[in-house]
Amino acid sequence: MSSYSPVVSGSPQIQADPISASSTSAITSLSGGSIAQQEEVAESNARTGESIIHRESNVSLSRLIPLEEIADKRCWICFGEEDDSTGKWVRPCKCSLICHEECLLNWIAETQKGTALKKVRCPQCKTPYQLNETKSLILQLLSIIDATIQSSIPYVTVLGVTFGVAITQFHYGAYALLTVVGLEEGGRILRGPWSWRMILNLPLIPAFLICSRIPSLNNYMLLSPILYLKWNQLRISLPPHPTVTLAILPTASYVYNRLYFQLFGKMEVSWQTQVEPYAVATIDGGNGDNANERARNDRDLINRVERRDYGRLIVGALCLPCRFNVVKSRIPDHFHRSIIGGCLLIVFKDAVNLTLKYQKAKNRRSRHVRNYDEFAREFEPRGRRA
Amino acid sequence: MTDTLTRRLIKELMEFRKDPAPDLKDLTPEKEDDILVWKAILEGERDTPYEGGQWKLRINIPRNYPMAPPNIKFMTKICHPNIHFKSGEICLDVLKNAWSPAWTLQSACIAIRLLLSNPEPSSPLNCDADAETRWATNLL
Repeated sequence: MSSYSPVVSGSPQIQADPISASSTSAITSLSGGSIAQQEEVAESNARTGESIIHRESNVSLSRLIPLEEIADKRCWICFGEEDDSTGKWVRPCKCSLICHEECLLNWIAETQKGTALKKVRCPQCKTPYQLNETKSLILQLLSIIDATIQSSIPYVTVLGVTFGVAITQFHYGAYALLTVVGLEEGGRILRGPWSWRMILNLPLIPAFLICSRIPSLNNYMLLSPILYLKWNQLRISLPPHPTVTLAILPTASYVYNRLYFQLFGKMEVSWQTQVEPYAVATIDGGNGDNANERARNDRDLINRVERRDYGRLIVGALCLPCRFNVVKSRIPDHFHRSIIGGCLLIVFKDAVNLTLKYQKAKNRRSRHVRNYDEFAREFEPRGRRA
Repeated sequence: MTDTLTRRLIKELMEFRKDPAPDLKDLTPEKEDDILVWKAILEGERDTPYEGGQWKLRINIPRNYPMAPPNIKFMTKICHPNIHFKSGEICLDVLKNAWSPAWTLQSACIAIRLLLSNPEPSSPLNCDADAETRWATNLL
């Protein structure tokens, strides 16, 4: 200890270590200061750290004790002293830390491992170490290239993942287009000149499909036609322009959902309550003060109890285009045939869903637990039965 | 390299024995024959929730110490925003990229003790404790 203190705290140049206030206090404590002192030093350093460093940079050379005159030298890296270690001593900075040249070179190499151009500084006084070295242009150039590559890896990774997702979205969009519009027409659209609307909307198709299934995002879907609808397409015709049909879909979906809720919401909730009274109790809680709030609770109930499974929701949304073609009809236009088929399919799915719920509730109502003595005889060994 | 490593560790041990920091009850190699695994016992600072408690730390020293920081973990469970409750892993800059050979095992332990009284809620390893710290700070 005694050998350490003259080196670190005995010299007039000791000052703040901006790594952290605690490090200074830690080193002061090695020199035997009381806790109160430590805390004081740490605090004052934290407050005035900047100004102290600024002042310290003007330290005159004359105040530095020459290296040869330091009585008990101690390397701040390996803790070797003059009598138990060999090597050239250096004082690379203005503070009291001295060390073996070899130790310091090792530390500099260790610090520069990842980034060769990084300036290594004294941990105590932050003076950058100055090296005399044979400067090679090739080494510098290669180091810069190496460091650039090293630091660009995360960006390249993010970029690659983004491209991967975008390409997947494009492919999915193209697939959805071909399924809904038909191979011939779809192929013509995909081959033809690509407008910015096409480039923007094709990869957005999967996003649109998923958003339209998530209740909280559903209302924003009403605005989505802004992205693909042209003004000159707004004409009333029969059959309507495909884009217009597409633009109507979110509104139709909204109206359908409202209507469905008005007509079947109460029934669905009551059936749900019969099957899962506990799940309902946790959501319903206060059971709403007024009718409005109760209605919202009911809708939450349907959404949360039934559609909380997001994996199923996303898969269902993405499978929608391939199910469009299941329904055959006599409409000549492939696109409208698909759309109408899809709508019918959704209505059919809801009907099935409702039936399932009704059956579940009915099944629940009919359930009774059998008493043991009612069926005990069935389990008795055959031999014992009279 | 091993030679200088042993010399430095022995000197650190002697320094601790000669002049131990308050609140640091113990700092020794765990076994006689392995100087690379140490244990430390930390006492909770007064006027903090940790007062009266004792925590055991395990210090694994890498071969290239002091060029690389020691690996310090809490062996005793502790509830603190910057310490992982299950593994005892510590999130402290000096044990990672702010390390320099000027630090010693003892000063690192003292830095950990200071971390106990000055948590750093911006980089939590224990989110529950962190949320409670933030909540308590908001109340004050």
